Amino acid sequence: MGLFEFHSRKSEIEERKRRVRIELVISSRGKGRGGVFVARHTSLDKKGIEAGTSEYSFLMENSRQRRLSNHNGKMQKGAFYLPPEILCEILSRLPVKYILRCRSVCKEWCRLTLGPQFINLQLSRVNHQLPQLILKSDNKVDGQSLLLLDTEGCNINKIPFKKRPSTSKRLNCLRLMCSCDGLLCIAADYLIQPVIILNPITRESFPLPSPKRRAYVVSHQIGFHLDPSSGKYKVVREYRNMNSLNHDEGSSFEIITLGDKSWRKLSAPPVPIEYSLDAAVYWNGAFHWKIQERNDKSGDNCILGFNISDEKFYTISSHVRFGSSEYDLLVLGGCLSLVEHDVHLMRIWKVTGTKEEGFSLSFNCTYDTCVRWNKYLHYSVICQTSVDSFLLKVSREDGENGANHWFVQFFPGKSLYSYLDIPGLPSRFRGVYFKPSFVSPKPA
Amino acid sequence: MASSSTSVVVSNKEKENKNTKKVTLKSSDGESFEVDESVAMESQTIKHIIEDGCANNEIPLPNVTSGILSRVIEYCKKHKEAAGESEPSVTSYTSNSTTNPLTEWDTEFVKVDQNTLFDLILAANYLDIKGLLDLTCKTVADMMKGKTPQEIRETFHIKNDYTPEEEAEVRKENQWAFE
Repeated sequence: MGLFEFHSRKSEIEERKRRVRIELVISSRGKGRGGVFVARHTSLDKKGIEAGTSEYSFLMENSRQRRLSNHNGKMQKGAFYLPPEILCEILSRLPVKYILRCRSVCKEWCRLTLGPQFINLQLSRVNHQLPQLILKSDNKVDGQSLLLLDTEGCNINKIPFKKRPSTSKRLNCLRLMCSCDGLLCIAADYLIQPVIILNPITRESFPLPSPKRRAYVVSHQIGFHLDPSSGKYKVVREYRNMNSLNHDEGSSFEIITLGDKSWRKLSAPPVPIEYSLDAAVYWNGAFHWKIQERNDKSGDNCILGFNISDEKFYTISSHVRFGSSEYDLLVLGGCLSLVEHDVHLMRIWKVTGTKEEGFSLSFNCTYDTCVRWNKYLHYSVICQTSVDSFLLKVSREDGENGANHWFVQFFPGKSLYSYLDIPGLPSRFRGVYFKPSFVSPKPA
Repeated sequence: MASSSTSVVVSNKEKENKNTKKVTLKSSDGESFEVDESVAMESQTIKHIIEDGCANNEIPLPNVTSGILSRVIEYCKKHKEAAGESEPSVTSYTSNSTTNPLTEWDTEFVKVDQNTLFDLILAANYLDIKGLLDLTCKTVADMMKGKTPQEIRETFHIKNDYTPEEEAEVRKENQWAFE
């Protein structure tokens, strides 16, 4: 260091206060003038902050004739010499569990995984992986923590809520509503507050504004997603009130953008909502709910859609009456689909069309599940794990013990079920799709 | 027999001269590698140099040694060939794969010592070859999976700059990840 002057291709080295180590990788032609070589510049800070490595390539200029020492050019063997951007590339490919472990390796790695560049990179990667599931046990005791389920590896990790007693007590009684980008939205079934956005991995939470009055409702359903047009997260909720005469007041819809001070009421959707809605499914820029019309004459089953950007409702109808009234609404293979449960048959309908021309439901295929499902033994489709298999959650009513839940993989082509033996799975649970990330719930 | 073999040789040569444009890549230690332009353009960096007209048919790569450059060229050649033959990949449901017919070849390709692997990563980054960067980064990530922090430090020669108290605190915060 200091033996010769050089002009680096990046900006000058600042802050000579920082300790600097320069290693030279010298080309074998480097004798005398005109050698081309690469310097790795590693700045070390005693506090472990702002450490970094950059590579410069430059031509050696020296006015004096100098013989370069001819060490064979390699850095001290075995040192970790990958620059931070590359380390980000590597760590962002790890499952979240291992990223957290890597924080214990050294301060530089910890600092790196806390930075916005890394958080965004990891989020973009996780969006292309199979989602995991976050479960919350229905049992009071187990409800203290969230369970991260990896269906591929068949293992569960218990993620405790943050230690502060007030938070964990509240979170204990709440239900998982939905998730987006690694953020969970949790709220109560029968109260419209609190509604909390939480990242279970970083344990950061952000409560949404609540009305002053404590309002009890009959049902409460929330959809939460990033609005691609504005880059902000929006939360849409539906709840049903009973008025003082115990009459059903019908559904109310409200929306809030994360960071706003209060919820906004939405005007009523184009069709009457007869019953409480089920969970919202986000697809193609809109939230969707299935609408069950049981005492209808027209016989059209339909899906209620709500566009997140322009905040308008629309409906998707099928012109065929379904055989049964039990069906799942979810995204299969990139398409919004309805899976109809007709005793032993599983009929799949897919939404086709475009926003401009209109959507409609069309029949896709039927599978024979070879099981006579009934009100004591029923299932719901969680996702399609491959071209020829589905992940199902099976529920069996156990009389006094309540229900028993578990997961199976269903292979329709082979009429085969494969029970997922997951140690630590609670006997009763509810879950949502989840893609773990380090995104902060706090609005920017 | 002899006459037919001669004619085969001649026609091959003709083919070569007709179709393929070549570029020469020069490693940091002065070795020159002549490759098809199409293979070299697997590297976005080289592609831009050629398109900007700065090539002059010899492109110096001062950041890449000959040992690494020859491997990179091997990778590009293999992947260019395969891309020419196969159909565009179909999106699948499972996590990683767009079905890659070269998975086995790639796995063998990255069975190298750690320094070579890191140099390949740096070369792939400098030369902007997405596939190679993905492959090598994933390989290193897989090496980290399942290891304890101490094992990671040992494998990758990283100095632990935490005090025992600091380390205990970081670990406690993420305790569930260790179970």
